[in-house]
Amino acid sequence: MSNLFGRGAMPKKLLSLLLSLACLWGLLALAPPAQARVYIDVTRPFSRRLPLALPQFLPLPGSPADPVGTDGARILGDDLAFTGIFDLLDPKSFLGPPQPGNINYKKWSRVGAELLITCSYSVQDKLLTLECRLYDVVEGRLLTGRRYDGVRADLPAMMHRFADEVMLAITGRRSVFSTMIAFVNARRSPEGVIKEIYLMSFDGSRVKRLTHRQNITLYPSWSSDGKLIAYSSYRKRRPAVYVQALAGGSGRLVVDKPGVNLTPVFVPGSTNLAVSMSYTGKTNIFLVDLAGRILKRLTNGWGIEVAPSFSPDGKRMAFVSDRGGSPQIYILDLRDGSVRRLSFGFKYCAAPDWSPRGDRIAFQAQVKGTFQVATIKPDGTDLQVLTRGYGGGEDPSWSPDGRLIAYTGRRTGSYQIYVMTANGDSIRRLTSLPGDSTQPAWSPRGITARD
Amino acid sequence: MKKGFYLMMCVMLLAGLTLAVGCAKEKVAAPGGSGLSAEEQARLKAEQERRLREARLREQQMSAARLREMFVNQDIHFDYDRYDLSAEAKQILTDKAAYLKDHPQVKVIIEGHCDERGSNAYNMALGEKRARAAAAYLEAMGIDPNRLETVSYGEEKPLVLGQTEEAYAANRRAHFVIK
Repeated sequence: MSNLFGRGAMPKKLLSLLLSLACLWGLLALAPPAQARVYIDVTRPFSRRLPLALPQFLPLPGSPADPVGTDGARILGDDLAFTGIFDLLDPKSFLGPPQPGNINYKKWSRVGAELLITCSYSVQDKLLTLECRLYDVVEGRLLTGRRYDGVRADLPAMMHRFADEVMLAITGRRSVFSTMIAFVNARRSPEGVIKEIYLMSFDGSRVKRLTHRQNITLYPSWSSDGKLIAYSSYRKRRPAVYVQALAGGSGRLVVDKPGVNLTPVFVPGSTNLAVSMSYTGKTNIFLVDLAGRILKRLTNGWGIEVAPSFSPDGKRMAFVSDRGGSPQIYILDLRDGSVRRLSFGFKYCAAPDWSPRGDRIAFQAQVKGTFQVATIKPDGTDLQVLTRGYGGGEDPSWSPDGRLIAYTGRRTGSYQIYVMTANGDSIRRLTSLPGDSTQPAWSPRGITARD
Repeated sequence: MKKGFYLMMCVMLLAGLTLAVGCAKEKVAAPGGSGLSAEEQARLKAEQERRLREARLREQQMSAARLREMFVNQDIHFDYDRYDLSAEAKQILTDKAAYLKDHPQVKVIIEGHCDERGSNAYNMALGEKRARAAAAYLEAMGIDPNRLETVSYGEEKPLVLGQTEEAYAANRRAHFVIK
């Protein structure tokens, strides 16, 4: 044990103690007022989950008990667990049912809850009413409440909506509960491997096939309004770009120049596409419209350039280029045409995806021979490698609220789609179709599966 | 003594037979020779020529099939993440150019392929570069570019499945298909 008052040590230790006190005082002086409690510090890698109590749903006075109570609690609980930011407390530990409108916060505090959700329902024939409330147990106040009226079949939609309200109250943004993910699934056929584009809800449920091209189909990408999906599919021995409406139809051929036509991506707020094309003899990225007219050349590297991804304001574009000798991520400023390299320290980087929040870019980076998912700030600082180990991570795709990342991994031997938080926590598998599932593309908000 | 005598007899017998055969042939070949009319002689001659012609044709077909087989089955290979031609690739391409020159009616599809490592989109473009590199070499050797179509399958159509170096090397290839 070192002697605190040893020779020469005392002044140093005292100084550091004084400094700590000064810092603490400084922090307290600068601390925000009590009612703007920060639930999630979005600037730091998230390490703590919020303890949330979600007790059984109760029938409203005068209403009989009904299975919607259990079903609703399960759907809401699954949704909130999906975000990776809540620690759902075990209902068995609760000290009694809640009294909506008259919450005994101490009772809930005692079981470790910082947040409490109460839901009450009434069912009459087919009509369903739900009243849901979110409370801050620490501060002892109601954060948000909603009443939903509809039919029984609306229960999942009601729960998804309220889950989004909870996220809005906690994080300032609605979450993924009205979103879908497009992806590529490969299956064997007598002619060889066929790849088609599929859709699924954000949690991996309700898988539905989108394309029926009976060929190799790749690189799904959403328009900002969620109404169109662009992709490449083989036609006469080469990948051509198609655009297909979610509402129906079989897709319209947009770009079919000689060579390869790859990775079409919609410009934010527009139906124009950035497409990688090789018809000039080298592979560069061009701006085209839905009629397939080339509007502008965007990149002019000497080799291979693919995989564009726009910043949410559409002013900058990340892309892959081997102009430096190996595939790396670059950023093009569309205002002045300048190009700057973003990725350093890896032998091979690819598949950039710019967060819809604009604050980070996800990409795959080769680490010890395996690709892993990493994120970085657009200015090139604060690199974080999120996945590790066998299975790796490729093709990252941000959720619309920028808090989750879907990606392809191979932990189980075949390629499947996983989701994790922006900090690499709470990894969950989404797909379990036969064959390989790859290239996830997260939709904008407000897109739900039709039954 | 007796041995020598018998040997001499055999040789004389053989010589005699040869002469007889030779004379007989001569007899047939000579116009107006005894025993065969002009028509019959012409027919025999035609038959002979047909037999010879068929024999030559059969030999040609076998090697044409073989050459075509070689043309299609021999891929050229590339190093990881590269599309430049090795010395061996150039040699194989030289052979292919020779075949194409000998068969001016043949048109070719050159397929570029990659191993499964690397990003899918980049590999699509890399496969195309490989096909183009092979096509450029053939064009430089005098093959009409209109006879060559280049396509890329990226990492989509591996020849060998698996994650070994051998599998990867086998898949980094340009493959030639006769249209």
